[in-house]
Amino acid sequence: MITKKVWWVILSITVIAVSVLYFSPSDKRQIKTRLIDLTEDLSFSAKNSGQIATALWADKIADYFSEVVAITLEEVNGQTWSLDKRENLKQTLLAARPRLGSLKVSMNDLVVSVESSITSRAIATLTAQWQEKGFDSSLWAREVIFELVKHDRQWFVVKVESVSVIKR
Amino acid sequence: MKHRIIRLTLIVVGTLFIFKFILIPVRISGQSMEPNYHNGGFVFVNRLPYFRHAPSRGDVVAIRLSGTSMMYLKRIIGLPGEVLEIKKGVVLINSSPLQESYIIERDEWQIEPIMLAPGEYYVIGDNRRMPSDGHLFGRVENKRIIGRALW
Repeated sequence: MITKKVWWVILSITVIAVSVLYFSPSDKRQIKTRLIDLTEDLSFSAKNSGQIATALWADKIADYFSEVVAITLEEVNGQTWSLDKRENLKQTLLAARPRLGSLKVSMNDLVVSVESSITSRAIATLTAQWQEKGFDSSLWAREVIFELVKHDRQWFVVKVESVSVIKR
Repeated sequence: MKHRIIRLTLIVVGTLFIFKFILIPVRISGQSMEPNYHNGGFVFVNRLPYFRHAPSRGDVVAIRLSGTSMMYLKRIIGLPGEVLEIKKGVVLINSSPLQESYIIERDEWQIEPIMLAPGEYYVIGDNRRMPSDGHLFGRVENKRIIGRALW
């Protein structure tokens, strides 16, 4: 028979454990949340597409990346598209958004490995579906490797590279 | 009552197991497998066949990315060790043309001869009407092929 006192002890331990997990999440959880937030922030619909919205959006996305960042993504035809520096990324986003009616980015099967207290690596399947004005919707899905570094208690993306699962 | 709950639990657990690990339901996005698999269509990927034997030419297979939530659906046309090329849309395996009854129309795709390494397959979509630039195809490692389309 479990007494009332024991129930209180179990409840207190549970509350403390949940609080600790919630208020000081592990690096793995922080990175997962950060990358999922990035994909959610990248997505937009046709409704909010003014110049100010575009500028705020580009700023918000750029904030996920470190100042020096290497992005290499494979296109459908097997060619690669590369970009470095956060500022170039921002300019690319600013130029791309007016051409797009909508963009939906999602991340699946995300696996994070923390390599040291300030470096980590994550592998995920990244899917982007977009509607270019005047065209049918396009779909891009790739396995992508992210490398992140911790700076001022926040994780920043330093490298994004797609994996060629199917090679020409 | 107790037996009914146990039975129901076993059915639910069994069903979840089958559809998570053996027969994976897949919704098709894109036109690369037209006319045999349509955009928005649905297919099951059977993981059992390749536990017993290697994939064969003509099989429509699911290729995993970082997991199985999102997979490529392609047809195998080249096997390990073979030399494959595409000349004016016709696939040549070791210099002999491949009969592909599942293709209705084909654009004049050109791919230079390529020798497949051990454990490497050549996969491609059935929709060869589209330009080759807009189509994802090529070599894939055996470990990426997780199962065969059920129909």
